[in-house]
Amino acid sequence: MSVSAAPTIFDVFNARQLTPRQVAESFIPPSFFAKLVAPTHTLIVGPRGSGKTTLLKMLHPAALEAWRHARANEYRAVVDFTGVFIATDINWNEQVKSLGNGRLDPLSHRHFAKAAFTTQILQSLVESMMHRAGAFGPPVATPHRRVAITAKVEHKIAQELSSSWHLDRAIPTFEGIHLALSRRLSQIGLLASQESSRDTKGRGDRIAEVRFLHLDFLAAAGVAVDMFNTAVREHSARWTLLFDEVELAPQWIRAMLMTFLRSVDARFLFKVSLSPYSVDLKRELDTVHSPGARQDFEPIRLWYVNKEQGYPFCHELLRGMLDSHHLSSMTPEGLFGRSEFATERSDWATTGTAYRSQTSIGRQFESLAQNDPSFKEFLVRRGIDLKRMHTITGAKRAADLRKGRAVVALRSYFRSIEAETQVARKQKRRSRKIPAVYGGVPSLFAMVEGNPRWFIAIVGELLKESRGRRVSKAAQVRRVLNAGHIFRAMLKTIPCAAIGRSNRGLLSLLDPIGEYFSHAAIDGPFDPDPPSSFIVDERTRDEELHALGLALNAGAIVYAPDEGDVGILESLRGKRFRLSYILAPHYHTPIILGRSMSLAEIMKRAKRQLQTREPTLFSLMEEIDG
Amino acid sequence: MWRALHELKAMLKAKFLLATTGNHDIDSRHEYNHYDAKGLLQSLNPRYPFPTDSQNDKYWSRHFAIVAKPDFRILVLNSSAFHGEGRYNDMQRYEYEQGRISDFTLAMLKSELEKTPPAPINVLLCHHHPHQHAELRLSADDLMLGGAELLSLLGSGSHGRWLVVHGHKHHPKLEYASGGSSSPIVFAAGSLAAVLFRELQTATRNQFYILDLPAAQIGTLGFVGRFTSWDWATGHGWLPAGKGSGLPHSGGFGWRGDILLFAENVAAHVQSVSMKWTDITTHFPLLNFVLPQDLIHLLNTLEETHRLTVEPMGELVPVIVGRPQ
Repeated sequence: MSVSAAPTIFDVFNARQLTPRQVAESFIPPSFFAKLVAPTHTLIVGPRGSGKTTLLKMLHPAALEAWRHARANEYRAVVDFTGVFIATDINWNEQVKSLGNGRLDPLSHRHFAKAAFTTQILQSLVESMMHRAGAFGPPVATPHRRVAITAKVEHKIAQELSSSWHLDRAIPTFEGIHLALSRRLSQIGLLASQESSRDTKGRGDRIAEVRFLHLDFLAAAGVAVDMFNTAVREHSARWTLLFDEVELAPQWIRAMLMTFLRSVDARFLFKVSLSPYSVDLKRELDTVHSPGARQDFEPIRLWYVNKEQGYPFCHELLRGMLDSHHLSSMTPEGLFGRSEFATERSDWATTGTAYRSQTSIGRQFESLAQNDPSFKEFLVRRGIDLKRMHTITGAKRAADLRKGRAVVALRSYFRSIEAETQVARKQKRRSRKIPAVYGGVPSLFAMVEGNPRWFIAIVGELLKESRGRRVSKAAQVRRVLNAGHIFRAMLKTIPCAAIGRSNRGLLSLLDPIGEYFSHAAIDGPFDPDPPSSFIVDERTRDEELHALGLALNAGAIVYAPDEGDVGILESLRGKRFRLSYILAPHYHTPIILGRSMSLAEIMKRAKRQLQTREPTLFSLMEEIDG
Repeated sequence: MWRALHELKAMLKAKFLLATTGNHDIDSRHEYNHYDAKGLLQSLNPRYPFPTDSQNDKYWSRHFAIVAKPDFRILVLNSSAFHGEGRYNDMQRYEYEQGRISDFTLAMLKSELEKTPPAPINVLLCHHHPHQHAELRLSADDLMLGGAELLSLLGSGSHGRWLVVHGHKHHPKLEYASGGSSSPIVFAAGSLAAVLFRELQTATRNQFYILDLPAAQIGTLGFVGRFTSWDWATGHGWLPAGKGSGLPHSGGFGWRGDILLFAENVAAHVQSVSMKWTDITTHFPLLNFVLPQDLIHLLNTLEETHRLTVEPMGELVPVIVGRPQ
């Protein structure tokens, strides 16, 4: 399987199956939506399931008209182009691959594939025209860029398109052209199949004779756009071609689309979505845009390296969901409680700091100092007197206390009291089936990674259970664990080369990383900044690199890009990543972007840990369950 | 299964659940006992096939019973009545290898039909096919003996107009019985949950149907109706019936006339560049009640003889019809 075709969890909410109108029903604009609706070429990069399809479908006229959000009018006023959505999804790709039943030479196959691609684009274009002309009925909510076209004018345009696009026996209406293009798609399949059964001699001539196989999609689309714009007197109107999941398209289509991101054709804008790890795409992008040159497109990354960046969006999503469940009076804290990793307002409201000995944080620190000799040693080394925490200045407090807060919370939760005997010392972890320490806001928001699909799936279920009452942290974490479990089961099915002696797919790579980070944070000597991200260096093996690419595109690991980086990766070497926070309750890792460590070193140490650790019945069962 | 059907009836809030007996329902090989092939059916709870003793008595004694209401009359016939009762000597075949309506049952049926006026809608529900149905090299020996006489009786015009709904062949088909203009409409239903014979596996799927007979319009349109079909698709559940899986997802029945003449009238009506099919059927409502095979003929005639384009081409539910330039 290519790195591009990773499936996603919660596919029931997959926007691929929804019409633009359905997508608009629950759409809440993220902070970067303003960038997306701007009249520029755009490159949207994100793992599968991060909302790329939703965002592109929102630019379709049907979606913009159906959208009822408080800011919908504001955004509609800005969108002065017509969106044309083209899905290059896995089904389309498989259909294209199967043209000619695998028996055509590459050049001949490309003719048919290009014709199918062109036909699909033209069909989507005509559909958007039909929508603007009112062929699909009145707008659901607010009309957007509707036009009035007489039957006579429509007839004239359709006749011209029928001729220009070589459509046989097309009824000269927009609908007739749309249906004739559907017919053409079947024709292309049939022709390819027939050609594959014929002798190759004369094939070139036979293909050359079929005129519609040689249409250039941009030129053909240009004819339609020119006629439509003239008819409605919008001579400089722009049409935005929205190409989704481009990583699934054949390489030559991807290359072509990347060049279009530099297009200066005034009639067209291009907005393209793809997954982060796209080897050839990055190369193509770099041939078109040399480093340091002004970019001809706006890049949008659909993931949050720092969890706080996703909170405003999650708050707004939750607000919308609370309203639809008639729970508008509830607050996130009222519903989910405050996370262990955040401070209670009552603890700092009057004094300005929660880091005092009588607060919950203070008590937690003191308790850990009593039970964890390494933490006590850390405090001594740093000269921190817990009874006088509030006197520590801001900078030092940030460096020593605030930074280690999450680690202190985890260690307090998971570590048992250090016992005197040798046997008890080995059993350092408490058995915590549902680690409720991960519950509450904003941890819950962090764990869904600002991913709207994950958020809706997890929080939606919690709201149903809530019925207006607070949801226990255990219930929250149970849902996240369940989601993580499904996610891990899916990751296991993504085919990749064996890593080491394990045949558990991507988990063979992710589990050692997760377990290592967990061990460093909880079991090892106290470190306020334990390793929680990794860098891929030259020692990482090829099969691990490939697995990392798959994991990245599936959303299991998150890329922490350098400043100015578009977010598409050609190579993973030298890059920094963290595990997705949705896996934190499973691995018992802190929800932080902490210091990084070489992946090769992690794998080496993890292997050593595995060899020295005595397996328990439960670890064996976890191994089986995955 | 019988209990499940009752549960389905309750869920659908249906007024009636009517069923009849097929060859698979009868212990015709006497595997349970050596004397009573229908005992198990008669012992079912809820009662089978009718909820009342009087109807059940008629069904088991005369091999048919009639449910009569002002708008409709449903004749439930047991074409497996004699299964388990020895050989049919003339042809040295076991009785369970075919269906049958006996002379006695036919006579009793004729008498019963004569006693009551015909309803606007009359439906015969039976298991075996009353006329030959041997396409796809299916068996030609298993039809309902006496079926031709039955169809003749029902198609005489004296007892109203009839729709026959039967099964047994696992192969869906919709056609008119031979005879005059009142010959019954014969709806051969496919199976809901059968393991299909090899011959059928590329020709049909397991299907269910909803038949709609507009009682209020019979006076103006005649004895017409429409059906919708769903296919069982493993891994997906029930989906609208697709091409090549038996009966199409939707279609009509009941209109009988000259297709070429009908096509000519439709073509003459399409004066503008393009017309929506729904507008055409509003003008010609009987188009909704043309058999699928006749509709294909009509659409082909529109294209080939009248040079119209019907889009989507090759589909049974057109969207638009127009004149290409």
